Amino acid sequence: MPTLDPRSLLPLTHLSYHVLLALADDDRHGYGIIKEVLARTDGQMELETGTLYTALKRLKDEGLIDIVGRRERPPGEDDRRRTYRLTPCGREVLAAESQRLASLVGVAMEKRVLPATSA
Amino acid sequence: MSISSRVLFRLYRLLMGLYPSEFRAEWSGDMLRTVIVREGALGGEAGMLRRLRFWRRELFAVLGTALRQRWKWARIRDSSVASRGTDARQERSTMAQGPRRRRPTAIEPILRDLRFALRQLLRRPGLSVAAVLTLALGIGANTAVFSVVSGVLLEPLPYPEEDRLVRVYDENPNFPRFPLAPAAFNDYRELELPFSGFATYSRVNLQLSEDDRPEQLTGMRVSSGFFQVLGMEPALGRGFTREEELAGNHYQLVLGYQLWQRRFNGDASVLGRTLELSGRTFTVVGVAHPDLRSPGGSFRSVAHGETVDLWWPLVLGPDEQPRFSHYLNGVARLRNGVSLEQAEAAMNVIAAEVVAPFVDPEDEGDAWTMSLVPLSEDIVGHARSTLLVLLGAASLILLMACVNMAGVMLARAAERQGEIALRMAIGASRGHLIRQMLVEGAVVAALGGVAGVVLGVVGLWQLLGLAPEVLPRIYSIGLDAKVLGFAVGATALTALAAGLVPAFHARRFELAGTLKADGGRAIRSAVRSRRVLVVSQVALAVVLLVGAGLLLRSLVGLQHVDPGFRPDGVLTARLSLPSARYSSAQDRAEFYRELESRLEGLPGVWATGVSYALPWSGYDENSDFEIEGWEPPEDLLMSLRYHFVGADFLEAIGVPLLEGRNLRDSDDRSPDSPFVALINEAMARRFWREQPGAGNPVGSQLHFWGQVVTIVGIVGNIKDGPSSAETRPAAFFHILQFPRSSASVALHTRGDPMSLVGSLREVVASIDPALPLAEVRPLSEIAGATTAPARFTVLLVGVFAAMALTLAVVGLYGLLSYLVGQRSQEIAVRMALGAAGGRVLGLVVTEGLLLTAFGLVLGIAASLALARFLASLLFGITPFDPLTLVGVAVAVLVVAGTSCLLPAMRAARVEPARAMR
Repeated sequence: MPTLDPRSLLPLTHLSYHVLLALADDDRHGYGIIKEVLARTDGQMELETGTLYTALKRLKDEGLIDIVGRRERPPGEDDRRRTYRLTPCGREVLAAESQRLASLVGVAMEKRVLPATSA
Repeated sequence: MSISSRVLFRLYRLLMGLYPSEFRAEWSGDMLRTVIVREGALGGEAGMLRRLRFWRRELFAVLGTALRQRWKWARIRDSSVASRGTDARQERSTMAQGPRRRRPTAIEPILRDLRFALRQLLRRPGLSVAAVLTLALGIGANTAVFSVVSGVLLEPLPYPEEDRLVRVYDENPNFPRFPLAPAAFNDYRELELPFSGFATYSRVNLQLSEDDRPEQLTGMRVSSGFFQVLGMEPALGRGFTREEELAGNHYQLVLGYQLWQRRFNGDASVLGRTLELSGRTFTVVGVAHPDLRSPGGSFRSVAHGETVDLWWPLVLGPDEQPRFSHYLNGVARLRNGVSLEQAEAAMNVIAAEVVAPFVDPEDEGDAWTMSLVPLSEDIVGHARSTLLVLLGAASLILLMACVNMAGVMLARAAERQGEIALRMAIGASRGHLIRQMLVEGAVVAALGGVAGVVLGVVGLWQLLGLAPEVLPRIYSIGLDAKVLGFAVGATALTALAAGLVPAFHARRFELAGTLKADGGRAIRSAVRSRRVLVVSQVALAVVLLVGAGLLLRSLVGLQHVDPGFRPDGVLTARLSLPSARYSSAQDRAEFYRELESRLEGLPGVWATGVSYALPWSGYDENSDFEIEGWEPPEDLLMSLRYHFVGADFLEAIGVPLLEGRNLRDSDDRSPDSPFVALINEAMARRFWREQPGAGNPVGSQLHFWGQVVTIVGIVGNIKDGPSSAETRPAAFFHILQFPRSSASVALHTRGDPMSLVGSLREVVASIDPALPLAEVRPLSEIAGATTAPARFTVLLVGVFAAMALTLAVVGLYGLLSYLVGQRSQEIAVRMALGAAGGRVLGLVVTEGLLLTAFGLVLGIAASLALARFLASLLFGITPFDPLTLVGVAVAVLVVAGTSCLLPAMRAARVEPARAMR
């Protein structure tokens, strides 16, 4: 995997950001990612399968996620389903994007567009 | 998995084939497993609808992403071909890097927007379908109607410099637009005329019996120069010469192009061949121009544009030709630089000289002039007002579609204020948003356009199927690309413009307010705009409804008119007695007596008679008269409409004898036979029953045309015309006592009147073989043709009005639903403070009815302003018919009120606790 400056990939698309965020705390398979995004957005963002997989492909091509090898999977998991994991590079990019958004929200609060308490 | 799910899953797998093979190899297995799990997670008892919605989303996503992936891979492959020399491994890794390495192209973001737009539309299917259907209706209706108008009225006739072609008529107080007489035509041709070419033609069919396949062919006899006048020289061979107009030389043929293709397989060796037609041997000298069809004509011709199979020469001289028998259709091409008026004035001078030696200057029936009518006007003139009204109605529909489109887009805009504000807040540029809105508008426009074209084509078929007798030039009507372009353009522009509204309304500083969705300025202004749109929609619909209502009332009136005669089962034909052979009144009277007595003997004929004129054929001749021994009051106009009829003519067309006796064959010109007449009821009423001391009409005597005529009976009224409200006083004099030089004959039979045509021709020929019969047609055709345009217009305007009302109601419903949603908090507060549900219901309905009432007032005002354009199509009512106006108002209020009820009921059910949370 070529190493990248995380900032060269910013800003992430809405979709990429959500997928990376879903993988931030746990490795998940495709359906798991869809459920996580759905839950995190209060049911607002229901990914279609095709949309998710083109995003997964892109993120994998960019080296932000990886497919978990068989031996690393927890026992008892259906071994035909693949599980996806954030790469260290993916984690860096996710952090950088989150920082970018946070600073935007900061500006919004400074300008009293958002009440300061919501942070 | 249910069966439907299994089918959809199979479709899903099929669509996955669209992904590039590289993508499939790595991802499709896991992707399919995920879809199966998700489908299973919907649960066994998940509703059919939920399951279908899931699959719809999934299928569209595969389609969208697959096409995008494929496009990306194509780009990568291109760039890898450009960078030859790298090894396969490197190339592979380039591909694995994905598209981020290459320069972004202009089209890529648009594709992204396109996908986004499709998703947005699918998210609100109801609204999207409304938008697309609205566009489709507007485009479809207009395309169909404009295509007809353009084909009939706007497209030039298919002749070169067609604007210089004129129809040439003789004209006389008794016969406006009368055909030409052969002798006069021959004389004209020898003189200096304002025409560069002048030709005549007359239809005479021929029987072809080649190859044992007998066939009745449409034949048109034409003078030499006919093809040059129209500017359509034969495709093969030549036209006719002056020599071929001589009797005996005239067995020459120019084959119609269609016949040549059909019967002779387009074989050029047909030139010079001989053909047996109606027992004569003809020589083929040419094949007509492929586009040459009948030029139309009012007399012995076929309708303009119909196929003519054979063209053959008219026999025109130089020996004696009929001078007072008018049966040739004249067509001429104006000389360059000569206007229609100049040509007509010049022809009148020439005609006066040519005709002078042969006419009695005292007899106004002999006062012949000439009339030139532009050929296109002659062919399509009668359809113009109908088509213009339809054009008006269709334009209103287009306007309506645009207004509706704006309404729908504004509704979307208001809904998406929050989303747009948010996207601008997180960095989307205004330009980007505008581009996205444009793409969304374009997608709606494209879908609506496609549906509109389909509707237009179907609509056009329907139109053409409805209107054969109303529309001339039907062959030249096709789907008009210009029109289609215009309709698509107009509606698409509206869609785009309305689509932009949200992007321009969005302002960053309103973000907070908009996000809280408590009605920012943008929303208020959008609602205001939508109110205006709804009012104008109602107004437009009212205009169309008033138009449709007026036309319908008029048609109902027309159909309930008792014509005063019975048109069914009656065959009519016209004949004209050449004055050379029928110079004396006695000759003419003898001919009519002989004709009537021979026709009476025909099997199947119940009653028959001749008459100077037929009902509703444009006849309108009136004269002064006096009543013997009675001094009329000063203000009474002593005028009657005079008819000359044979004894049984009125019986043959079903006019009842109310009083007295009928005319008899024994009432004739012999010295001991007094002149007799019948009068109609209107005359009996006007001059006797309404006059104190006038006595009984039967037995009274009239002074008419220097004769004393005794009234022997009273007959029923015949309406003066199909669209006249009354019947003028009329007298029916005996045609044997006033024998005119032309007459129509009517035969009443039980079966198909056209079955008598052959016998009629034989009888006429048995008395005078040289006498042509013209205008052979059933009386019902004359009577029915008068309501066909009205039926056609009513149907179309009615359909348009229904469309308009639907669009208006949908607009009103949409707005009220939206307002109820917006004001649910306000409504909740009111209800919490004790307002009853009924009061809330009233509030919403009042809002709706108020908008409707505004629209109604505007619409009725506009209708009154536009009504005069309809006046020429109305019968029996004025354009300001109060019944129609009130009816439309009530109908609109009822329909609108009903459409308000649903949102109002929703408002009344608002639960304060929930809405205020």
